[in-house]
Amino acid sequence: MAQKQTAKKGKRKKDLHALAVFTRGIIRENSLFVLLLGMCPALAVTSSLETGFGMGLLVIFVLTLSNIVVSLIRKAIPEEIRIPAYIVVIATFVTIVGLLTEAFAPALHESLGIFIPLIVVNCLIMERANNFASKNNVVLSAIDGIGVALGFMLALMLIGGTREFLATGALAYGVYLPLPLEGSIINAGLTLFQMEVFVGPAGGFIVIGFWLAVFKAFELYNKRKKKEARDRWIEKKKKEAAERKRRKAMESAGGSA
Amino acid sequence: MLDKLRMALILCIIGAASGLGIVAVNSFTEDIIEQNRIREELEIYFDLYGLEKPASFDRDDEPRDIYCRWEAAGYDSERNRIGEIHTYCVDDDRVHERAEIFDKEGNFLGKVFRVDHTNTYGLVVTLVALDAENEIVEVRIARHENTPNYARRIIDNHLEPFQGQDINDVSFYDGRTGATSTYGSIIHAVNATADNVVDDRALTDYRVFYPEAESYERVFDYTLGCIDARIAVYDGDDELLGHVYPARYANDHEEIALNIAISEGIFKGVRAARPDDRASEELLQALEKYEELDGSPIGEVEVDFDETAYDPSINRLVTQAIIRCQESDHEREMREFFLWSHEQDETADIDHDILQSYQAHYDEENDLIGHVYYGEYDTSDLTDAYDGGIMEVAVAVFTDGTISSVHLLSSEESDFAVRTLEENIRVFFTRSEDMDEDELADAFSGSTTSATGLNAIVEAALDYEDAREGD
Repeated sequence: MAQKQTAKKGKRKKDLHALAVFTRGIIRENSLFVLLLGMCPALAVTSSLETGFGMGLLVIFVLTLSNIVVSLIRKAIPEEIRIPAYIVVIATFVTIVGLLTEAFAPALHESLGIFIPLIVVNCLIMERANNFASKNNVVLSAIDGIGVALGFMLALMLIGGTREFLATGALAYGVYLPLPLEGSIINAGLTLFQMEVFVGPAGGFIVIGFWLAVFKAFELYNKRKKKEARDRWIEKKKKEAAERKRRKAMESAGGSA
Repeated sequence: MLDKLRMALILCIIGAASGLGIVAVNSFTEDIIEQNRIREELEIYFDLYGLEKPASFDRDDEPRDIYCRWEAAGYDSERNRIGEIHTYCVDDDRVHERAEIFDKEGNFLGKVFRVDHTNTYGLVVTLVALDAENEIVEVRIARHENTPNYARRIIDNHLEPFQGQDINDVSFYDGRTGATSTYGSIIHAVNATADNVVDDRALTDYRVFYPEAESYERVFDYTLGCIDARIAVYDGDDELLGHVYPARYANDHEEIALNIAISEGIFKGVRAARPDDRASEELLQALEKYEELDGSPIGEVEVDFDETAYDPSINRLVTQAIIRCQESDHEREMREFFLWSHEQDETADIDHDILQSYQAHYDEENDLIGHVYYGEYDTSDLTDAYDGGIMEVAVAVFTDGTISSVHLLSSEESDFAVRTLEENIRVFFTRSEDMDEDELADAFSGSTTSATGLNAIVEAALDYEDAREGD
């Protein structure tokens, strides 16, 4: 009975661990806003929500599959040739994703241009292959790949959406991706306030800077809250200790009396 | 050692597996990608001329089935009828395809030239669309592998000014715009198109004299006189059919452009170089008289017609063509300096800072025409020189102190500087018999180091000729 309970606890712990692996890459350890990895595509291809989304999809594909393959072959790869072996694996998936995009989403392929082959040297993918997939099993590596890439995609969409809205006053879809419908998610009609600077690289820097500041502020706020909670807990513990001491002293004084 | 072999083997296996994966996906997507490209370009063709797309033109259709265009490797040399577009491969290193566009009634609307150019960043496919009058309808980038933002800037801001320009006389942008690789590819495409149009028209012109003509080659370019070049015309077996001499001359009425053909001592005829609809009616009437000379040996050709205002000009051009076809290589080289040069002295050295030597030239009556001065200038000593070097220039000066011709013999400067200089020489010095020293100083800008060097040599030659005249 006790053994059964331990096994159940272990499974539950594993599930929790897998969930933590999946979620931590999305916000807490967001590759772009927290770890500052993969800044090149974040600046270059986020001129619209949809290009950010498209690039994110490609990264999900490449990161998940490369994590799976790296995890599968991790025991066969000697330490000395890890980097070249991982680069070949990543480059293969990037080439495949490039061909598939050109075949089935030519507009997206044209829009992302040379940044598709550049996924090969996206430090985010190399970092996950080297630091996670090479040390963990296939399932966890796949979950990590999806989670981290999802966080990366959301970050790209956040930047792309902000830039597109500020530059055009609207958010569109169906322009680059072969979606069944074409149209606008939001059309605020703010044509008078269009700021074209946000389409260019300068706008990319400004928007990324803004969102980095927001994330940093959020992080600092969380830290302060945690610190305050910890301080309160220490204070409480101190008070409890003082109370215990006082009670003990009174008890000993009563006893002696 | 075994460890190293094991590592090599592992890398090989990974590489092989990777290659197999890519080959598999490539074979699956290859046709789809090719069809996407065809569809995109066809859409552009229809869009360029405002044509209504056929009902069957839909994203889900197989363009290869609808238009049966482009076989995978090597295009069909025969014209394929493709809806309202004929396309066929062009035998040219630069232009890869030419499409002729017709409307539904079969009226010819124009041609689209597709130029593939690989610059530093990758492939740029440019479509140059012309109307029936050879004016540019639009220059459009069909696809590219360049940085999207840079290419977008060119597409948005720098392609529109090409619209409406005559393909034979296109003016490009300044260096600021032309500094990008993408724009460089556009210039390449427009130039390739212009050359192709000229070649195409020229071959049509030459077939008037040689109906079997299939190709031609520019043998010489002449610096002086009214004859531009000697063109050798060949048949399909690369056998020489004869020569054509394109000639230009501006009389009081218009600038006339003629082609004069001579084959193995036989005068084959003189025709207007421009298509008949662009040459004036008077010129065409004047040329009709010359048709009676067709087939005469050149020794018997007497060009003494003088009935219309055009005849003296035509006579002059035909005479020059006959002289050019009879001249030896030595005479041709001499006539690069003075058009009527018949004899020249040995080169004599000069004790001068810039000029090294000179050579006297004489006409048929043995009268002195002028002198050719050979000078050398080191532009690397100039304070603003960033790209200097030694340049050698020959300046031909008439005895009255005017310039006949200027030739850049060698230069150690960059290719760009040399090209600019040659262009300036062509504009300011060639056929500038009337230009004196003061006008020259105004006309030729000394803003570059190479121009400073060239000016110094030209001025030294003019000064030396003046001093000689004074003596």
